[in-house]
Amino acid sequence: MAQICLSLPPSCFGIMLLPTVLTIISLASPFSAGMEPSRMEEETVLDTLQGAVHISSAKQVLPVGDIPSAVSVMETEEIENRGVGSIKDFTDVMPNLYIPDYGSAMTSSVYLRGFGSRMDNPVMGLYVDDVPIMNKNAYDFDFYDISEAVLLRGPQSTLYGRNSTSGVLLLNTLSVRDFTGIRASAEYGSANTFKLKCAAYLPGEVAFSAGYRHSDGFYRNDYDGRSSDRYDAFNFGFKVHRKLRRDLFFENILSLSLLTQDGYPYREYDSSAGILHPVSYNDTSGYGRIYLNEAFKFKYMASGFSLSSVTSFQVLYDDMRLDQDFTDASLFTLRQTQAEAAATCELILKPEPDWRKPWWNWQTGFFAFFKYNDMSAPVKFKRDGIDDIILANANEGMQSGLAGAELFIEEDEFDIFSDFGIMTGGAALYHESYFTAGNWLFTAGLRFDYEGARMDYDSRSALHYRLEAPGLTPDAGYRPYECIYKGNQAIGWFEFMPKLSVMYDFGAVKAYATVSEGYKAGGFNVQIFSDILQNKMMEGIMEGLGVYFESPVGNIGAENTSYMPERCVNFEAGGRFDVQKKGYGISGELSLFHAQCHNQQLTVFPPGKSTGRMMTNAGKSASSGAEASIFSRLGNFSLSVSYGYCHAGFVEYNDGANDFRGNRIPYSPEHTVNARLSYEWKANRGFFKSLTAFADYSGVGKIYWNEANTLYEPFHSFLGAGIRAEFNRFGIFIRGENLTDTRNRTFYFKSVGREFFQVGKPVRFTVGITL
Amino acid sequence: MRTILLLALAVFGIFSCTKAETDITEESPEYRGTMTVIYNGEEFVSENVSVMVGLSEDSATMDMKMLKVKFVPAMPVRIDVLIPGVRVESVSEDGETVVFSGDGIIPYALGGEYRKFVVSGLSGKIENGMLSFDLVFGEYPTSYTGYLL
Repeated sequence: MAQICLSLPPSCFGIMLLPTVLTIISLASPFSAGMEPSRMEEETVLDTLQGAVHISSAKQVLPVGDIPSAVSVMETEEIENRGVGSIKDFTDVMPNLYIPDYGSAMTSSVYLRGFGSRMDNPVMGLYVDDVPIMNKNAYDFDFYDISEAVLLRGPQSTLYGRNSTSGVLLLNTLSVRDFTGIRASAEYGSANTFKLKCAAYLPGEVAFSAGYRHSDGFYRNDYDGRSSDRYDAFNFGFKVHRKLRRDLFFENILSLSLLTQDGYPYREYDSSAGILHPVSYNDTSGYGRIYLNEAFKFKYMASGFSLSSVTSFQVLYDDMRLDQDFTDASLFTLRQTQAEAAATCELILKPEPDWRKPWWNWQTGFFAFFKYNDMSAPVKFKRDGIDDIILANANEGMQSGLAGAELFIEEDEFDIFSDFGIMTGGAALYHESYFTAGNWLFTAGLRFDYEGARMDYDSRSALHYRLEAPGLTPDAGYRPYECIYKGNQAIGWFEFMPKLSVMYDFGAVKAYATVSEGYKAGGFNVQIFSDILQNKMMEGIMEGLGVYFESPVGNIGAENTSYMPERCVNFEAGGRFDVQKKGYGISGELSLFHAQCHNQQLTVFPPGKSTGRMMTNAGKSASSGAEASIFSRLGNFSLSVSYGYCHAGFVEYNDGANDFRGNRIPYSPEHTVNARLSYEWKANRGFFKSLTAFADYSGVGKIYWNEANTLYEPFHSFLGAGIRAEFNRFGIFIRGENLTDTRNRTFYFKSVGREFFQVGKPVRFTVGITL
Repeated sequence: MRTILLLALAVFGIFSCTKAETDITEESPEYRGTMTVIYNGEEFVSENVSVMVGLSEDSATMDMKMLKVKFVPAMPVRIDVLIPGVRVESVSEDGETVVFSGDGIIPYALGGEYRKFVVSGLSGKIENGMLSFDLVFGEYPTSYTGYLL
């Protein structure tokens, strides 16, 4: 299967060059002449990551321990020791977080605390270096030098806005503030997977990093015997950090990633025989992506206040190709390309000592964004698809009214073109105050959001057809037919998102309770346009023959394709403790939550005879659960355990064909478990520094695969282990994952009446060296 | 009325996406009324059935087009049926009355000549803004009475 080759439209190059030019300008900035030392005064720069001081995100006023939400934090050393290479690897490690690894790098479906979505807007926001990633297609990227990953669970919309109904993941990358020197690594593993990385954090102001990852893939396509998940990705990063004046700091962060991969190794499932067939599809399936993110951060520090700004320009071009029937039949294919440009700007005002009261701290922010997405998603119907899907359905319907009549299409293949231009923009104002009274800490916040979106659509197709019927002598051969459907739709909404919390500090133990709201943005069902056009074509063809259906083939049009935001209110109580003594220590966190989701964006069968499904605000759901995590060390041993449980179900959900009230929400696991035991032997003599051995266990399940809850994946477990040796100037490691070769199923779906699964990756080993 | 009927001759084109050449244009007079079909010995009555009529240039023949008709209750679709080349027996001096008939006419439907429903025993007239006719579609006796819109 040939890998996807990206071919950028010329306009894309112009857009992508802009941030690069801005970066070069920043390097040549007049501010650099005669500058003071580039580091902020409060920073400590180390040549090792052990104990490095991490600057928290621009919006984290409170220390992590005082945040009144469930929080998971992972830092560089743990991220690298665990082999966390992308956000999908946080699954299980962070309680109640599940990002299944299936499809391609485009398919980063995030499930957190029982809620999630397979397409469109996510329930978890992702910020990288304080920049919100504006397209979920860019969530899954290769990690290089992540300094800190912080998952805040529960609605975080008061500070983080749209698409953070279940939480937000904050990733910070290393900078010269954290570390100076060279960091490089090379690793090699199963399926000829290798990863190379080199980063230079130059004393002063500038950091460069570059990385490359390749894998031959773990899945084979039986149709041609080739890999169906071959992967190549290149990443480049650049950071400038400067003190422009005594009170003005500047940071420029540029990241560029390119990837090309085969993908979608889905296997047909014969439910009657319980047989999972091998991966076997005949049309190219894969994904390619170019993603550029350029951010400018300024911080002005006066005696009374600090004003921070984060401005980003994000350009994404991606190209997904699907054999949409995932079989060796030539039914239909989809190629979806997107060229998206986004700009975000955030201003954050915080009081400094002159303004700040001892009992009152606060932050006020303004956020605005705009993005334009130029999407093309042509569906190509091939001969088998024309015969088995389109004509079979049409002729079946015809028989009931015109006995013996049969429709024919001349083309061996034809396209249903769907082009979209989607503009989305929004602005928000927010405030959070933090009041201290004795051992009490109160937090109150409110955010006011407006967001609007407009979609221009242009769907079209052309073909030739004829009708045969007993006693009918057609007056011509194949007749030409062209269907054009174009127009625009617009939506907009206001959102208010309050947050209230209280925390009490008992000393080693802190307890909190929080009520907060979040929202997931609305949007447009672009996926349904192919179905809309198919229905219009069927009606148009028949009307061309003077035949009219008693009821419309499909009752939906573009006016039905928009959906509004969903809202989630969360009630949470929890606590955390931290006891550290010489020789041992234990810290942990416990949280209980109940979340109610209204206007939930769910897929339904549109009215009429459409074959597709579309998203609409169709229901309500609720999720209740608990999360616990413990980290302890005793001598050279350390143990970390995390566990998440949630019971997430539909309170109201009728998809037009079935009532799923009371059923569990599919795709989201009931339990996530992770435990890791490690032993570190420190030599600290001569050449050899330390040896660490670890073993870890993770488990996830039960996962229902459909709304009817008739199919599910039972709870399943994985084992891992590894050894790491640190020497004076380098370290080596060997790591094994899924040592029991558990063959769980990571994804399920139905297409054209067939059922499919993707099976998880097998046992894997990786060896590597780090400098 | 003759003026109206002849107005149809001014425009000669294809109507309703069919390839059949017909004397019916968008400006042709349209009648709306009741159609009765005898189906399996039972009467099936359809209301608000539209029929358009177009006279040939020499007034020797006319075309009738039945729009979106449903002949039997079980039909999930409605179809357009063109009855071409109906013989005009007479046209009154004032053009208000037209008498027509036909037999063995192959109707045009579903994009071609539809021999399964050969029209026989057609007789009818247009008089005082009312169109009425009887015919047999294949084996289904059909009658129609409608008024000029």
